[in-house]
Formats: sequence, C-alpha cells, structure tokens
Amino acid sequence: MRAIGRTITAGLATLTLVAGFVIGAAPTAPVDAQARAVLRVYTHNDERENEFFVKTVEELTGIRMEIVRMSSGELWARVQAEKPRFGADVVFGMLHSTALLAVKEDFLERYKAPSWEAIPAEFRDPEGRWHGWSYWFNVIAVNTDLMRRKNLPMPKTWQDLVKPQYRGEIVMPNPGTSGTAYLAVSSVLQIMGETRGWQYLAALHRNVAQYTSSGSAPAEMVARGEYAMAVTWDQAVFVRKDRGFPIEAIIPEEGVGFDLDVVWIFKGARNLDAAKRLVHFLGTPAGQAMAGKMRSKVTRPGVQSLVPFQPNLIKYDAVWAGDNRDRIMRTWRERFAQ
Amino acid sequence: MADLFQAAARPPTAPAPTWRQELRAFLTEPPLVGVTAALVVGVVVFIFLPIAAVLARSLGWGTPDGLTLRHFQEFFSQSYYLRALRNSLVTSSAATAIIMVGGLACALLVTRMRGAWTGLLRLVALLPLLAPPFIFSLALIILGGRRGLIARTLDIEFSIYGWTGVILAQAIAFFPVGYMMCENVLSARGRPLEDAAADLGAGAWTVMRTITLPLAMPGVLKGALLVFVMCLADFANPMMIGRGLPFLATESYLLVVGQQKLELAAVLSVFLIVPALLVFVVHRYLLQERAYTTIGGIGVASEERPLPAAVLIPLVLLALAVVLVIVSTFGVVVATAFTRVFGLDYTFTLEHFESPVGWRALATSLRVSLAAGFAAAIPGIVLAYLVARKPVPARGALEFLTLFGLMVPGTVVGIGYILAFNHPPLLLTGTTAILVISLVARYVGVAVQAGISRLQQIDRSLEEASLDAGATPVTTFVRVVAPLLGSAFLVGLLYAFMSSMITISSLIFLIAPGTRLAAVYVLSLAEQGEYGLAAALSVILIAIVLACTLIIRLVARRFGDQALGM
Repeated sequence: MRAIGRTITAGLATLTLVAGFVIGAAPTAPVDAQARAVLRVYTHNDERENEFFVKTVEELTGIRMEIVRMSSGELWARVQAEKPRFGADVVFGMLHSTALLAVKEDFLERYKAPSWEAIPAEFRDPEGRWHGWSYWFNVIAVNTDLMRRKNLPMPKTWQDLVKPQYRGEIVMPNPGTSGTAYLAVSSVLQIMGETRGWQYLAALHRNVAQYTSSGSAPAEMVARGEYAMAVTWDQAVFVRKDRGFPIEAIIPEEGVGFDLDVVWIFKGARNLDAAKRLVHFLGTPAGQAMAGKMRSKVTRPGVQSLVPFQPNLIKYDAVWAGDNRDRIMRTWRERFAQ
Repeated sequence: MADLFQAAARPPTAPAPTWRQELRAFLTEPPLVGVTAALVVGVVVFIFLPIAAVLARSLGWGTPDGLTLRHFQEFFSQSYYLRALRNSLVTSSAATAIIMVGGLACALLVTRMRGAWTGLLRLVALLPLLAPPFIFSLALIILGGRRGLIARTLDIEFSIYGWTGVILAQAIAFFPVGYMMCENVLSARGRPLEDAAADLGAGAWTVMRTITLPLAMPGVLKGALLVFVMCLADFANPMMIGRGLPFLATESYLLVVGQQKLELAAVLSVFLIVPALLVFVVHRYLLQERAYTTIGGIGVASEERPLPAAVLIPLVLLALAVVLVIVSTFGVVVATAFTRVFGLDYTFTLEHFESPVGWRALATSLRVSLAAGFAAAIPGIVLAYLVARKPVPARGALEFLTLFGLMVPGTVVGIGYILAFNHPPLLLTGTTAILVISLVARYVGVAVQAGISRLQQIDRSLEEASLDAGATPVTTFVRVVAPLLGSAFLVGLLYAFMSSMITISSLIFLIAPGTRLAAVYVLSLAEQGEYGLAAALSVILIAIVLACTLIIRLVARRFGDQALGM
C-alpha cells in the first residue's frame, strides 16, 4: 500500500511541478478582476490603426482591447471553425457582406446602442446585430515617379488595367485572404456582369506581377516603387501619401465598390458589458472622431474624417457579395491561383 | 547545441539484464514508477497525440467520410500542390547547399586559424539565431526589391522576389544551424591524421581533399539533412518573399487559416513529416558518430598549422560573403527601425518604438518563453536521468518521442494541437497554457539530449556510493545527480527560451486575443508593409534574446564552476 502511495505522490509531484510553470505563464487569480475589463477582439483593421484604436479606446472608455488581427478571409474561416464557442467577444472591423452571413448563421447578439440613433439607418442593422462605423472603397494606387520613369500613361478606368503595356507592373491582393481583393473582384463582377467580369479578371491576371495576402501590402509596394500600380483601398494609399511617398489614388471611371466596416457582438460573449460599451462608444461623436483619424469616410454625419472628397461609388450589393462568396472564391482559385 | 543530434553512445554494460529483470527492478522503486508514469502520459498526450492526429486526419479519420485516400488523391490531382512540392524541394535544396558550403568555409577558418577575428566570425555566423527567421525576408526586400537599395544604387532592373529571395532568406535564417554542425565535426576530428599527412609531404589542398573533408563528410551530411528539413518547414519566408508562388509549408498554413481545410492541410503536413522522420532515422541509426571516429587519438596535442594561402584565400572570400550578407541584413533591420522611412527619409526617429500593442505582445512573449524554458528543462533533465540510468521499460521509445517534437515541423505541431485540443476533455485552445505546452513539446528534447550526454560523463559510482550509504533513490537524484546536471539544465532552458521567443510556426495557429506574441505580431506587421514597426519590434526582440542569453550563460559559468568544483 505504501508503495502505491509513494508512486502516486511522486507522479503528482512531477505533474504539479511542470503544470506550475505552464500555468504560471497565464495571468491567474489576482488578475481575474482585471480580466473582466478585458475585451477580446477579432479585427481585420490594419495594425497601425489597431495601435491607435487600442490606445484611444482605453483612454476614453477604460476598455482594454486584446486584439487578434487577421485578414478578412482568415477571420471568417476562424469564426466558422470556432462556432459556437467563439474566441472573441466582438469583431471590430470586418466586411459588411460577412456580417450579413453571420446574421444568417445566427452568430450575433442584438444590441441597439443609443448613440447610433443619430447615424443613418442604412449603416446599421435594424435589429442592432451589426453597426457600420466607417466605410472604405477600392482605389487604384499608382507610383507617380515610376509611371513617369517608365513612361506609362495613368490608368483612368478598370478597363485600362488590362492594357499590355502594364504587364508585370500591377500588384493585387489575393481574394482568398483579403477583403480588399474580394471587394474589387465582386465589384467588377457587379459592374460588368458575370461573363464579361470573369473575362476581364482573366485579362487582368496576365498583367498581375504578384498577389499578396494582405490588402494594404500592394499599396506599400507601390509606395516604395517596387511596382507601378496596385489594386488596394483608399486609406492604405492616403496614409502613405502623408508619409511622403510619391503615391496617388485613382478612382476608375466605372466606379468602385465600397464596403461598410462593421462592429458586431458575438452570442455568448464573455464580456457582454464591455462589448456593448464599445459599440455605443463607436457611435458617439468621440468614437466617430477616432475612426475619422484613420478612415476617409465615417458614418455619423458631420464628423470630420481624413479625406473630404466624394468618391465615385457604385451601388454595391453586399447581400449578393455575401451570398455568392463561396462560389466566386472557388472559381477564382481554380482559374487564377498560381 | 550542435551536439544535440549526436547519437548518445552508451557504453555497453556487461551482462545485459533481460527485460524481465529490468521490469522487476523498475517496479521495486515506487517513486520512479510514479514519476515515469506522469512523464510518459505528458509525452504521449502532448507530443505523440497531436502528430498522430495530423496523420489520422490526412486519411480522413474523424471526418464524416471515414477512412479514405481521397485527400491524397486531391493533392496529387492538383498541379497547384505538386508545384508547391517542387518549389519547396528546389528552394530548400539550394538554400541547404549554400549554407553547407558557407558553413564549412567559416567553420574551417574558426577551427584552424587563430586570432580575435575568428571569434568575431563565429559571432556573426551565429547571429541569425537571435532573430525571428522571417525578418531576413523583410531585409532582403528592402535591399533587393524591385526598387530596393541595390536596384536603386546600381540603377538596374533587379527583383529578388520568388525563388531567389526564398533561397537567400532561408540561407541566412538557418545558417547558424549548418555552421554549428560543421564546426562541431571539424573541431576535434582528424588533427593527428592531418599532421601525419603534412609531415609526409602532402600539400595543403591534398590534405584538405583527402583527409579533412572526407572525415568531416558524414557530420556535414547530417547537418545538411537537418538544415534541409528546417528550410522545408519554414513557411514565413516563402509567404513574404515568394511572389505568391505556392510552397508546401505556406500552403498548409493558408489551408488552415484561410479555408479551414484541415484534411488537405494534414496531407501537406505528411509531406513535411516524412522527410523529417527520414532525417531522424538517418541521424540516429545510419550515421552513428562512432562508426567514423575510430581513427585518431583523443587529447593528442597537435601543433597549430596555419592554412596556406592556396586554401586560405578561397575560404576567406567565402566567409567574407557570408559576413557581408548577414551583417548587411541585420544592418538594414536596425537602420529601418531607427529611420522615419528607410529608403526615402533617413531622419533619425524613435517613433516606431511607440507601439502599445507591440510592447504588450513582448511582455506576453517573455512570460510564455520563460515558462516554456523551465517547463521544458525540468522534465527534460528528469527524463534524461530515467532514460540513461534507470531500468525504465521502453526507454528508447520514450527518448525517441521527446526528439520527435524537435524534428517535426512547427506548422504540423500547430495543426495537430488544433485537431487534438479544440474540444473537451482537453479544451485548451485560446489559453496561454496551450502556447507553453506546445513549446515544451517541441523543445524538451534538447534538455533530454543535453542531460544524457552529461550523464555519460559522470561516473555511476557516485550514485552507487550514495545508494550504498543508505540514501533513497530520490535523495540520490536530488542531492547527487541533479547538481551535476546543472549545465545540461541550463542548455535545455536556454534553447527552449530562445527558440520560444522567436518561433512562430506552431504558435501562429494557437494565438488568441490576449495571447498575441511578439514574433507573430512582427510577421503581421511585415505582411502589411509596416516595415518600420516590424523592424523596431524585431530589434527589441533581438536585444532581449541576446541579453537573456548572456545572463543565462553567465549564471551557467558560475553554476557550472561550483557544481564541477573547478
């Protein structure tokens, strides 16, 4: 009997010793009270935006956001894999079209924040399941120096991008991972219709030098003069122009798709209180001013945002984009994945 | 660290006891049984289970379809994945070749020449160990992109994206591993034979060609295999600088995070596991160190003979190339961290260091890595003792499993952890614990190997004396053996800590809000073209790893002195 007792004691002692170090790495009891104020966040916002948002939200509301940043495709894949036990309380910064899918899957908590009543109804779900805090659109980025050096004419339309003289000079994100790219692909299909749209994408594919996983990376490459042109999104170009790069945003004449950037709360959120406070804050003038420091368009009327100009936006059908996402992605991958 | 993969050669002990006798001896020591059981459970659950889960999933096990080869068919029917296989094989082979040539040159200089510069050369050769491996892609893009420093200063069309970039980035990132393997074989081997050959009138080249290199070959080959597997398993460099071309490790990562196609990702993982296991078997059973070291006396004082110019010049040129590449990539990272926009605006700035998210991630990294270091070193040393000294049944298999974690690519471990621990009873995803455990599983083998080799240098009579004097086995371990294993403990601790700070491959699948780690954050920043922030965070990371390494080394020296009474 004693032998068995000693066996068990020794085994348990070993386990305790090792487990002690493993658990020691995690914040435990004393931090628990603090953990209640921590909000777990998934986002597709750029890291530079996150740095600013995390700081500002904590300063103005006391909410401490712990963030995992993924591209839109990765984020949606992760959410689907985790259901119904989501690893985050809220998603702050995600595609409107995926919010509609999430509504269909019944992933989202209802909350009508008071601050959002001043914001036009088109920017939020009538039942309060998602709220659009800013919107962004596709642009074509060009490096003005490089265009001049290589003697390339400025593109004016989507159609211009397939001209043979641009071969090997265009970078574009991969719609498999990037929401920016999916917005561009689905917009083109909506503008041109499916048949002509796919023909166009095939022609564009011949000119594309590389596909990147992130939607902002092409803007960086163009800013640095690696490539002359990129398909990307508005803010990615404007921040780099501010930093002094020779980069310009061109809005093609056919118009560009835009996507509402939304915030939503997951059903079963561990920290529902902080989640609601975040959603409310984002609708207030202060919250919208914060968003406007990073985005060119915010949804609350009268709030100052970064770029006061009116882009040529198409009537982008986010419902269609959400419903047809899987099919479009599959076709794209089969035809163009290298 | 380099002697890590050398087979632990066990001196044959006269009349080998039968397994029956061993088992009986084993069972007479209850604490031993308890400790062993606990460790075996840990090893099986956290090393064997996840990897088995990946293999099972590739065959469709646990999916609604049941057992099937469908996923392998899917792999072979798509030219896309076959191209990924080809790209991975080509770039890994090329990077390995570059590393081994450069590593051999540097190692020859360091082991055969004198002077402070050899120490410096060694330092530079080991430098890439301190940084996250993908940081070299970032440096190469800044240097060799289409409008990088090279293209701009020379005003030429030059692009490093694609195969060239991947090969170069991996050649830098894994250079220290290849170098250490070369240094290790060259430092001790064949000196007397070289002397003899030279005395008999052989020229420098002849000595090199007929003595030095052939003797070093098996060790170099081992190193090459190891480097090859590490290149194959690297997913971040191809992702950043591969121009969107498919690579095995990258695709298996994207299949999981982008599409949640775990079965196909598992199939790709199999192609990463198989070469790793092959290398392992070759290491352990085909290239047994002792088979090649029958010649030459140990401890024969050999006269230093400087290498003649005919040999020296090409070696120095090769080494210079290595130094130039490594120093310039590190230089670019540091310069990018401290300038506003490297390549455009060279104003000095500290703005990239203002990163609340980054500092928080660093704190998490430090906490997780320290925990992983201790949690790997302690059971590692105990396991080493059990394997080397105690009649534990199937101890060979146990040791094998601890090395398994070390050899299997990190992405595979990460995928395995998602498969095995994402549901009750072992629901661990989203916690800090899963990060630490996965790191321990990957690096515990180092402490085990260090412990075993140390134990081989310690005479058994010490323990026997303690036992004869009436001490229990537990007391003997705690009071006699453990103090002597201090240096091995520190090697295990240091290796696990350093690797944990900079690795991403297994962790990127496991991070959750609140457990974001610095290296993973650097990758995300680099992917989005935030080079300044990425470089700044890397510089801090490198500084921390360097500082901790130095501190632990310092402690080790003191501790070692005391323990060995020297």
